[in-house]
Amino acid sequence: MTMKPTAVEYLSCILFRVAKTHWAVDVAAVQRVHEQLTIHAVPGTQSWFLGLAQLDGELLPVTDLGAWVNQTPCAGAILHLHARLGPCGLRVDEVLGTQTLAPISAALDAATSVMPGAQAQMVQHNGLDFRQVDLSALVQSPAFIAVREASTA
Amino acid sequence: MSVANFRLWFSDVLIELKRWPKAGLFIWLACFVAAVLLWLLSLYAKNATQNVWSDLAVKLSPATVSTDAIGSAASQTTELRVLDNVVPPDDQALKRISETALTLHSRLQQSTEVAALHASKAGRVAGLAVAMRQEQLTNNEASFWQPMGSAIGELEASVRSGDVRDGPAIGLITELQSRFVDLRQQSARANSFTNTPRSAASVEPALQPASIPTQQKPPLPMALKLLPWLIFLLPIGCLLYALHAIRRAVRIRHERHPKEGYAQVASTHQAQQMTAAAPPSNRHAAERRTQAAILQLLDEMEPLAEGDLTHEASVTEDLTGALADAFNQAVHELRRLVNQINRSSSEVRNAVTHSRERTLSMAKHGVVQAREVTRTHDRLEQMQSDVQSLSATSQQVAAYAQDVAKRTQHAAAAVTRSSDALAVMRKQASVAERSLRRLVSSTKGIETRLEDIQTASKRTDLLALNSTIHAASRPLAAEGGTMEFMESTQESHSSQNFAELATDVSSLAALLSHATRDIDQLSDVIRDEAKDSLQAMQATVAQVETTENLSQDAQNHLDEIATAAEALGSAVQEIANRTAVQAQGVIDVTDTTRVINDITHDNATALTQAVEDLQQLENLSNSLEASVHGFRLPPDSAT
Repeated sequence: MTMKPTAVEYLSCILFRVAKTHWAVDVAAVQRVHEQLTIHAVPGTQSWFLGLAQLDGELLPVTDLGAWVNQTPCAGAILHLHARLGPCGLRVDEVLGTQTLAPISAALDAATSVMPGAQAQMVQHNGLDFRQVDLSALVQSPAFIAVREASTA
Repeated sequence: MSVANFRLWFSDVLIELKRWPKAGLFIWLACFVAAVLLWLLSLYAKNATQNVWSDLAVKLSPATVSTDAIGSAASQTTELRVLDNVVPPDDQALKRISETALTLHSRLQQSTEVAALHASKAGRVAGLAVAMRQEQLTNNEASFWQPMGSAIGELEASVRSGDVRDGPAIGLITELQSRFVDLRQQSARANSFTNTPRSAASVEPALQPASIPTQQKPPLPMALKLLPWLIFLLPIGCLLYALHAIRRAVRIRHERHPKEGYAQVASTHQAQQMTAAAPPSNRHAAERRTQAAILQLLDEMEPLAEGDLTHEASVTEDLTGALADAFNQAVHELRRLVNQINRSSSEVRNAVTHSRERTLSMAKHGVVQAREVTRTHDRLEQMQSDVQSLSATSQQVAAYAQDVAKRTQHAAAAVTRSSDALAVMRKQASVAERSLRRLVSSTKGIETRLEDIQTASKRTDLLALNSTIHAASRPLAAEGGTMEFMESTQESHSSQNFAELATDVSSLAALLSHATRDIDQLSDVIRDEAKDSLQAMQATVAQVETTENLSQDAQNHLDEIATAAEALGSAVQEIANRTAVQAQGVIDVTDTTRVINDITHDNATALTQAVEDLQQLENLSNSLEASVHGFRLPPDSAT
């Protein structure tokens, strides 16, 4: 893989892992990270749509990103996306922290191309490659929005 | 026997009798005559005494005795007595009679009914005796002797009739009878000194019971008692002497003339008398005949000088007849002697031969016995040495066994101490095991607390993350142009402070996370090591218990070994003691065998000497036989 810095400016990003793939999102796209939330399942939805969580008097839809991408359910924290992206929560396997890193360009591969909003940039931390993801593109992708169960649809 | 023969015989008898002095012969004859006279005198006196006794015995015989008879006899004797001066009987004798009579009375009363009928008679005797003692009767013949004799006679008659069969009662009656007779005789003798002897002598037999006359005879003088013996012995002695003289004369005559006897001697004697009385012409003829007889006798004696005993001299009527007769007698004696010597020599030779063979055999056996005894002695000495060595070895083994017992006891004590140490070790291991268990439990507590720390670390990390997110989102929001400038300035300062706080929290969270991870790792290590130590301790405890059991078993075995070693030591000591006793016994046996060996050697030497002596005896026998070998005997003389 050829790694070439695309810009001189650094990116503050949140690093997380879904199954065996590592991802990096802009820190501004995330409002909060929840360790545990009480999620109420919603009947007639996809299996990767975990349900609704009550948070500060508001309902937060929570989607299992691993189940949605790799058919592998995640068991970690929930990324509470910023409000400007709409109410949405993504369950990942592990949130590795925030880092200010210089993104580098990198072509998508088969493992990362399945994720809507995956960009051709990534950051490196501790020897790991974190693919950068545009969460607004992700949450606006039709596949992500179609939470109704297929048979029901 | 003719008159001549009888005369010769009588002359021989006289010769034999003349060997004794004539005075002695006369003394013998005088004694013989005196003995005959004394015998005749004693015979007369004896007959006279026996006639008197026999008359009284007939009167008082058992068949005819009765109270009346006794009474009549008493009255008859009373008439003969002069009763002017009667002596009273002995008081002690009367007392004994009365006691005997009373005893008899009680005995008869206790006996059969028939015998009890006679008890009154015994009582009457006792009463008479008592009355006699009390009244001191002087004229007691009618009032005492007669009734008492009558009562005693009736008692004896009851014994003969069979009414009284009790042995003691019969004995008492006999005793009573005897006492009565003694008393009566005593009284009669006493009275005889004061009265006439005739009356005493006549009274005694009259009052005796029926059996008395044959048992109680008056004693004869010693001379009269010895007189019949002298009368018989003297003529018998004289007769024996005469017979001895006659026998001796006959034997001498037979030795002198075994064949011809007295007839031949008598004829020779008559011929000599006739020759002496013949005229001179006849005398020369007689001398020539005598010389011829002497020459013939010399010729007949010549073979004897050469040892020929087969010939005998002719016994003629000549003067040499007697010499020939004596010569033949000598020849006969020589034959007998030679035969006897030959037989004795043969017997001695046979006996010596047998004895020598037996002695030689005994000597050989004695040699063999001596050799065997010597060999046995050597073996016994070897056995003695072996037994002594065995005794010493037994002593050593006993000492070894005692040493083994002591060492085993020490080993048992050491094992006991080791077992005690193992027990202490097991207790300490148990304590350590419990400590490790508590350590494992504590490790679990640490893990629990570590989980809490991890939770806190995660929350801190999350808090730092959210703070970072929040701090990072403020400038973005300001860049959005939705806020005023002043507010944006304040927000910028707040965001900067928030970011610093977030950084601190994040650093704290990172530090906490590292500490938690390190603690977790250390806790895992401690837990694993504690588990390993616990397992090792448990294995150690199990091993210690096993070792302790083994030590206990070893101790038990050592105790048993010690006991067995002590028993072995005692047994070996006993064996040593007994072996010592046996050694002493073997020494004694060896000494005894040595003595036997010496005796056996002595016996062998003595047997050898005996063989030599027997050889000499055989040589003597042979020489004796050779000395009479020159004599020739007639064929029939050997028998």
